[in-house]
Amino acid sequence: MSTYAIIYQIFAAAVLYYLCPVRFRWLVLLVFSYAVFASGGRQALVFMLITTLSTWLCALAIGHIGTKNKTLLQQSKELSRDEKKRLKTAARKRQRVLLYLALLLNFGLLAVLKYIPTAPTAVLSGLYGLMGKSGAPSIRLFVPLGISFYTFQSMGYLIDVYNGKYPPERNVLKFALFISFFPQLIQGPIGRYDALAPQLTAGNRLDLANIRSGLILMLWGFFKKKVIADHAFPLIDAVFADHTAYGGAVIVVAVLMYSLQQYADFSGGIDLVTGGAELMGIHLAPNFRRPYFSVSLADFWRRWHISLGAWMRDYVFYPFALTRPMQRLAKSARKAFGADAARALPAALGNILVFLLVGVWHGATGNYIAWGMYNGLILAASALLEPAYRRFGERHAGLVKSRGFYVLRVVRTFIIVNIGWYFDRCLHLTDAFAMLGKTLCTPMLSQLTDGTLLTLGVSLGDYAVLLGALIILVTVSVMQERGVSIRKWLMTLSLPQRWLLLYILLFYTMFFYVPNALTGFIYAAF
Amino acid sequence: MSPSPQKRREWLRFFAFFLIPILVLAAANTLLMRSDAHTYYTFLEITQRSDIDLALVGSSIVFSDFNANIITEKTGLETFDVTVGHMSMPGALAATRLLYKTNRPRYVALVVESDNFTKTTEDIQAQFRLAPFLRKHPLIYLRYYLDLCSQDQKYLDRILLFKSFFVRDLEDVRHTIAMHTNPEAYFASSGLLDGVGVYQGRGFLRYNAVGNGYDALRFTPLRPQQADDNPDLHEFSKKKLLEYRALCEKHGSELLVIISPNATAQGLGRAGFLEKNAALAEFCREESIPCFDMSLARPEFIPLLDSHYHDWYHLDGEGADLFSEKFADFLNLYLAGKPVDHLFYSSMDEYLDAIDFITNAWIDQSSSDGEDVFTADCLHGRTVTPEYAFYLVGDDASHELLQDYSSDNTYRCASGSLSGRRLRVYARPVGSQEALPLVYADLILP
Repeated sequence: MSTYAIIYQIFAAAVLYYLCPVRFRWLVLLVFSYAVFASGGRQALVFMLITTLSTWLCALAIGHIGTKNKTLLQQSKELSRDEKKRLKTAARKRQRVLLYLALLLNFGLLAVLKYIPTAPTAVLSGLYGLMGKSGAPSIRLFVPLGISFYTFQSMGYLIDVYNGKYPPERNVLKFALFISFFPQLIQGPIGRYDALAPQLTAGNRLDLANIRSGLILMLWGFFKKKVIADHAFPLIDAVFADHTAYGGAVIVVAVLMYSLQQYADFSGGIDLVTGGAELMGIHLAPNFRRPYFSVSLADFWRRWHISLGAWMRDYVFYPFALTRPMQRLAKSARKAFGADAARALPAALGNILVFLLVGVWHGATGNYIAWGMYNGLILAASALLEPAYRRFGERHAGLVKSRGFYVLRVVRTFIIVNIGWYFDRCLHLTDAFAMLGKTLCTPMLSQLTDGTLLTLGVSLGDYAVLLGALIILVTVSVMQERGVSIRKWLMTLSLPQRWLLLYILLFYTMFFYVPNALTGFIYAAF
Repeated sequence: MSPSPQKRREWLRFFAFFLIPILVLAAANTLLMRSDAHTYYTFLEITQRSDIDLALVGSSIVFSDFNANIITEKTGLETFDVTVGHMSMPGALAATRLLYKTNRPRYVALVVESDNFTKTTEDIQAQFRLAPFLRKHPLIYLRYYLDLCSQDQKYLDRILLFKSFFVRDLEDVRHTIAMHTNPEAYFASSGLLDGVGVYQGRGFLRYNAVGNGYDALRFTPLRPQQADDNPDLHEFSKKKLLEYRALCEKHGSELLVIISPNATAQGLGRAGFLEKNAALAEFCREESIPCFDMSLARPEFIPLLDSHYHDWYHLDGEGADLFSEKFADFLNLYLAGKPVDHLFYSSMDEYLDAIDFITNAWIDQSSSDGEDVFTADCLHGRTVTPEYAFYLVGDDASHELLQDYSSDNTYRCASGSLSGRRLRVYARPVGSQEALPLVYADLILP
């Protein structure tokens, strides 16, 4: 879906939303979300309905079992403790079966659609082969828009209901809206039911503050996507498509550009939809917090794609770290290596698992898995070395708190993250290693000045535009990092000052965005 | 409950904020954009007259192929080429709505390239050309804009039009300002358009006959395997054609659909090309819209040769004159209610069967067992069996025969032995006695 289409859809939805009576506004969102979803292909509705209904029904059943069991236990006061425990265990087991069934169905569907969309062809070929026939039809499964995001969101809800965090939603239409709310279908953020659903169904009133704030955020997102990300794209594409002609120096420029592009593209897209939702008084979960100011890789992942990180933390990392085998491992580690190791070991293994999954989520190819493992292993090593860092910090408190050390940590993290991008962006795993090898061994620095950089689809003017945009981006980010809420700060300025700043951003975007670039959002592909 | 004065003020300020960007955008889209002289001349003339009887509506193929001056003279119908380069159905609708602002033609001939019905989008170039005229009619522009965006989703590119067609230098700015402020001066400053054509009134643009179009046809091999045409008509365009018919009916015009003439090589070389024309003609038949496919005109009726083409699609001035005379004859017959079917082949197959010549040839090079292998191929009619002769051609055009005419289309030699030489293959139908026919292909070996 193009950047423009989503903007227009959001505006159209906002207009319809406010034109409708307050109590029906959530229905407008539902109808609009399904219309947007179906515009990508009507088959998508089938998959959306499978996920919506299976999750809603299982959550209802899980809730019902829990309520019934609770009532039974309250009413049967004469039961012994063992009998109560047995009843509780049996109920929990039934709930678990339902949970696993829903997880299996939905993650199974996601896996098949995302990773083996040609599965029906293979199955049919096999069947034809068994029957001694040839010419099996070729069927490629339709991959619905945002399937990863809505599957994660719905499964998060189901696990929360299973864990008793909140009761299940009884209204299937309200639940359907929670799963399908269209601005977040493209690339998230992955919403939590307790935070998002009440806002969606509240019927928010027209409020200028929301409109103003939402529009400013949308403009900021558009600036990042269309001015920064789209300007950087041609160089990255050219170098990564065929790196053989370039030395390490140009490759480093391409990787740095990719850092910029990916951040601007993803966070820009998130700002667009978050701002768009704000037009309707709906506040989505934040998904970025200036990740390139991170002081460690763990910090980076707490600031980058926050909603996915939190999902992985709550539904994979902690459940995994708290499994019986992990607890036993921690116990053994405590005996052998002490308390620090007991704490670090499950965390280290949990990180490896989480990032392996994140890698696979990006794509079941060698480069993504290597990228996931790279992150997982560094985080695992960090977890294991954490006691040593702590002791170092205690001994050199002054140094650790110094500005220089902070900058050093930020730069170190930036380098670590960028090495990871080689794997994330390359076409094949071998390319990543080849490009890393060139970066270290054959930099060919002369390519930085001999005009090579001007042959990669980015003109001198484009570099100037990018530099200007970068200055704006860094200035805003530094202010935010210092705790300034830009939109609130803008409102404290006088009207001419505020308008001047907004006009600078608006006209910079208007005059320097890349026309005819139908590059979609990078994360929409995941 | 009405909002408080404070709230009202805030809302007013909010809307006021957008005034400056809107003004800047309007100025940029007017003054910082290049201008298209041909469209300007055309629409300026349309708005200055109200006597058009026959409007030929379509893209560049109309202003190059249909000499409205000749058609006017031969039919007695005041004819006008209502054309905008690159436009397809959305543009045709918008341009015709503009036409109806000042004219009520009795006949509207929608001239289409079937590509327009199988492509999903209209090139933004058409909007760029039409925009200066549509701006005066916001409702027509809005409908056009929504049509376009529903096809290609380029919502913003189509609003910030100046981004795609930004002035290149001060001369562009001067030219654009002159277009908006001093039409006469603008008209006088650019008689020759793009260095290749001359505006001759009634929307007609004469391409100079000295163009190298024929060479382009002969020497740019249009190989069948490169074809990617899908003969299915796009639903959007079908819907728009029906909308177009309704528009004509509403204004009392009789609609004809004319499929443009094409170089023979197009029909032979592009798989699906003729099928698309046939599909469009069939759709028109189903909808009872009179449709005539000029690419199926019999040569005894319209004796167009590939050498009449300025490039792959457009006729040169001489070709346009010839075609326009014949088109006027056809119109006279048709409008008089006389039969016209005999002027056309009855089907695509009959047309293909009638092609008894070769349109162009090419050579491919490969290596095998230490030898260079040169393979010739050509586009030819169904009834033709081609034969090839291989020559070495010197700088002084001297010919050294390597392999005389035969059905063997390959020539082998020791690897690198022809290095630095010009290899030429001639193609002719078996039975022809022409030693050095017009159809040949060269390969200059490194």
